[in-house]
Amino acid sequence: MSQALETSYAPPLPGKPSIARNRSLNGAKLWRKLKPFLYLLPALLLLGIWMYRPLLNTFYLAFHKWGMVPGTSPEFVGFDNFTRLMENKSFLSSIGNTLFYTAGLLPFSILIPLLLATVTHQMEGRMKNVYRALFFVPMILAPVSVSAIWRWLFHPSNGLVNDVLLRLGAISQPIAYFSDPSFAKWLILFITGWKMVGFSTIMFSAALTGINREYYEAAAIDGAGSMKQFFRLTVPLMSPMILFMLTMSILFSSQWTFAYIDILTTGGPYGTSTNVYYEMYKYAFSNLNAGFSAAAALLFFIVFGVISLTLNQLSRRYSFYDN
Amino acid sequence: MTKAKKGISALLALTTAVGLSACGSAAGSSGEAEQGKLDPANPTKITFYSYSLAAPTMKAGMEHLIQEFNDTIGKEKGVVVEAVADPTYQQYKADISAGKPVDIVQHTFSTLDASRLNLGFKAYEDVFPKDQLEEHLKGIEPNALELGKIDGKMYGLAFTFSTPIVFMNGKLFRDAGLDPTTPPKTWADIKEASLKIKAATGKDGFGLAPNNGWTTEGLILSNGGEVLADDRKSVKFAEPAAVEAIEMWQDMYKNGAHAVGAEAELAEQFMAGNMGMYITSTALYSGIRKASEAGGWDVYGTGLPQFGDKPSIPVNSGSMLAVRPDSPTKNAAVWEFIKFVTGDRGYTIITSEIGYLPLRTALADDPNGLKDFIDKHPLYRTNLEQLQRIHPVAIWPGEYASEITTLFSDAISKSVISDSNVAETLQKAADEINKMIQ
Amino acid sequence: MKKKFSGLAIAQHTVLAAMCLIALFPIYWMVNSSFKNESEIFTSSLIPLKPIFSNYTYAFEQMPIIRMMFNSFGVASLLTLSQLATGLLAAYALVRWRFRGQGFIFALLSLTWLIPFQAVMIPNYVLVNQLGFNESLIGIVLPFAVSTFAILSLYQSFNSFPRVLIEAACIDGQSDFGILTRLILPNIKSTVASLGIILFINGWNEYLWPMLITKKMENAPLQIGLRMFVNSDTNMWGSMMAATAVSCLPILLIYLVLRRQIVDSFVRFGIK
Repeated sequence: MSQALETSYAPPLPGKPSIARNRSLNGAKLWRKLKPFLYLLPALLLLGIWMYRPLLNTFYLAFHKWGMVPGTSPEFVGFDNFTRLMENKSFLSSIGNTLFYTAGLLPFSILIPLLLATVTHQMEGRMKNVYRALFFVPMILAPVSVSAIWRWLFHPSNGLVNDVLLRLGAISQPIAYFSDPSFAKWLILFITGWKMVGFSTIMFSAALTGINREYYEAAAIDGAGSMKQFFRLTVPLMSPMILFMLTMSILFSSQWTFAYIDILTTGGPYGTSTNVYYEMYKYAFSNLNAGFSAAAALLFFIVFGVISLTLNQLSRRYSFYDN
Repeated sequence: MTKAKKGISALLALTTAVGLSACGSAAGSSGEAEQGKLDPANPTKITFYSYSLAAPTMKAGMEHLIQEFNDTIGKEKGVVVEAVADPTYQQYKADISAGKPVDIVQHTFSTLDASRLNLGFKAYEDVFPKDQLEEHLKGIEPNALELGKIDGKMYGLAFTFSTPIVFMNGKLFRDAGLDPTTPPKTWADIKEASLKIKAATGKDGFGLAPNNGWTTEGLILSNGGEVLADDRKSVKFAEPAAVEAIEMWQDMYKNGAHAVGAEAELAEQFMAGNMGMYITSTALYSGIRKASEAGGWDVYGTGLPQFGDKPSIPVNSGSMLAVRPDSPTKNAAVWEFIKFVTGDRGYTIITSEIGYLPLRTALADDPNGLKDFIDKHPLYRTNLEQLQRIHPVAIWPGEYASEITTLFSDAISKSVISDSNVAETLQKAADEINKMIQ
Repeated sequence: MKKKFSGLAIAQHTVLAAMCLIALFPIYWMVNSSFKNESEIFTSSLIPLKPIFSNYTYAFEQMPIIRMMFNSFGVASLLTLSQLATGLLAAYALVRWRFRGQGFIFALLSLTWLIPFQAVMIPNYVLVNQLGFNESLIGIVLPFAVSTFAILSLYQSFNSFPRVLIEAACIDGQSDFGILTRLILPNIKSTVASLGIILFINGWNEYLWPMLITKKMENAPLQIGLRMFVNSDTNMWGSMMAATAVSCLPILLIYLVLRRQIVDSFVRFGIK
């Protein structure tokens, strides 16, 4: 917290009788102590019920077996779920896929947007805003709509992509993209990336406008070419934003793919496009194995926590603020 | 209240709630089932979860079936059936989890045992009057009846039923110089025909979805292989006969002008007139018929191909009716519905309007039943003929049925689509499954 | 000063135009396909030669689109309102007073970022069913009624509000709630509006939870209903594209009208 709060309560009004002041002070003191909590109550209560309680419950379930059917109760099984998870090949390969999505999304969330932001930044006037507005459109569309469109475009026998590729002679047979192990996950990656590019571009554009022009002019005077300017000036000055987007991307990219996996491939073909989140969902609602899902969630939560703490530290260390 | 305290008390509350709800459920019934009294003035509501209601080609027929019941027997006896569409076969599970009344489910075969154990489905002998049950079952194809039995008791009554059919696009056949009225009989014939069609018309000659979930078993069985051992304690699809069957399919996929894609995409391709042969359930027949009329081609059909001289062994697809009424009145209400939809009238509607098989095979020759319909659509005779040779689809044991289904399906997909060694892939999956069901 | 038509500029514009094409072409293709009749739908024509409208009527027949759109609006609006309300109160508390446990609460709020929804979905699902809120808008909204993003963002903007004004109002005898509603709020209207827009878009796009909770089309938000339509084994691609186009329409209209504000909102909340 940047600013200290100098007053923890309002100064007492002048002119009140002393006894009354004492009593009202005591009552008032208690009231003032409680006030902040009162304002916080709705938020904390709701979070408690819908975030923290279930989290603890999930941790509890991780050590039990339960089919989620009312009338049955969870059965304690110790570390059984965890050992089965570790042996489960599809879970292990889903971890690999999660890493794939995380790393794979980086070009879409960092590199390409950075390029686009820089290029549009140097433009004058209206074109800049027009481009930015257009890039942003995929971002506001809902996942289901996006999936429907892409499914249609990549349909094996009726889709535009195969049609064009066949006509150009690039392929001789139509490809069933979502059923093909070599294509399914790349396509999911591409679709997620397609949607996210606009978001990052806008963020980077905003960060760029925050950089003081004088630095560039000084650098130009010093004879630095545009490449040098980019790497020595732009990137470090944008480092807070870059690290922020990097953190968000690493932490959330697999989550962003969830809807597309569910609609387009359900993790297939034979588990080549699934990721940890999707497996968790499948264990719970498809196999009705709550304990298994909870164990995966617990494991993941720990790993996730470690990663984000590390990223946080990194962020603090490497952010270069302009002061 | 500190967060820790809050958390612990909430946790305790939840655990108590769960524990109490466990105490609340009654134990199952035993012995002869009690049948409540039905009252037309006070109709009993029962819920029917059906996946056919979510499939465009089957929806109208199923709705008609339910509506007719509600308007005739339902009105007369005091039963109202509320239908719930279940497109992903998950809704009934989710609703049971949520404590909602789920009385009848159009249930697929492979996960019946899991449902029996985990979701409270009941045996017919336990909830319906014995003599009425026996009387009603007469006339239904005995092979079909066996399919819903577990440990000697009937947990599912065959409802919508079909065997795999090789649908053929008559136009593409003739364009390739083949005669659709003398269809291919063996897998070797199929491959030959497929390649000819591709060469002559440029369209894929054959399609069978690798993740089809049932015909695969027919493929294995037709070659003399087995999927699940009879004692249900081990899987046998990694043995040589089965491996050979899948290897044949893998070869077909790579060298036999086999179309690519998931089930839905293959169906679309065939219906668009761009595939020579397509193996799928007769349930799609009405949809295919309409598509062929719109597209200007004609459709033929033949039974599951055989390996060499060995007669093919088709498995059934479709569903059965699994029940879990929770009161004597519901027992009676559900029984009325079951009797109607699996009676003569029910099967007549199911066959003529949706496309499944009439399990009361006598209907095929009954002029008041389906004789005219079947005469117009000789495809059904093929179907009925195959019915005599069917083998049940594997009902995976116990609680891991969903996971086993996935493992098996994934292994088959991988074997067929990729270049992997079929024997190895199947063995790996078999080992994993065996570990689960030991 | 760069010349306007230098080679670099042309290259830049080409790249940008290409990116724009990639961004927008799918949407164009969707609209294009939605007007094609059955024989044209499988061709690659860029404009339908014989446009029809029946795809749209079919889609409207098969799905209760208006009802579902209403659901989506309801969910998005309720979510926005509740997230803003709880966020305002909570952020106010954190800024206005200093009290014991403040750091702890901050940590708690930041921690919720780490919790993926899949980790809490099972107990929430059980609870919502027990409360009987499944298939209802309330059930969809409740687990997301609080957004820590909103709280933290509002905290940032409250922090930049001049303290002296707050103290002056205090001395003047204003109640705390009054300070919030009559002093601070009117002055950060645009920030709240921007935040509201972001929250609304997020609410509109919610996927996993509404899918778990609603199974009947009439109760589902537009996206979930669309999904049921998309996954049924149908060959009615024209209608499917029509349905998708309809589902995109509301948000695209809002975007057209509020484009400036929406983009600014995202920008503002990215820069901390």
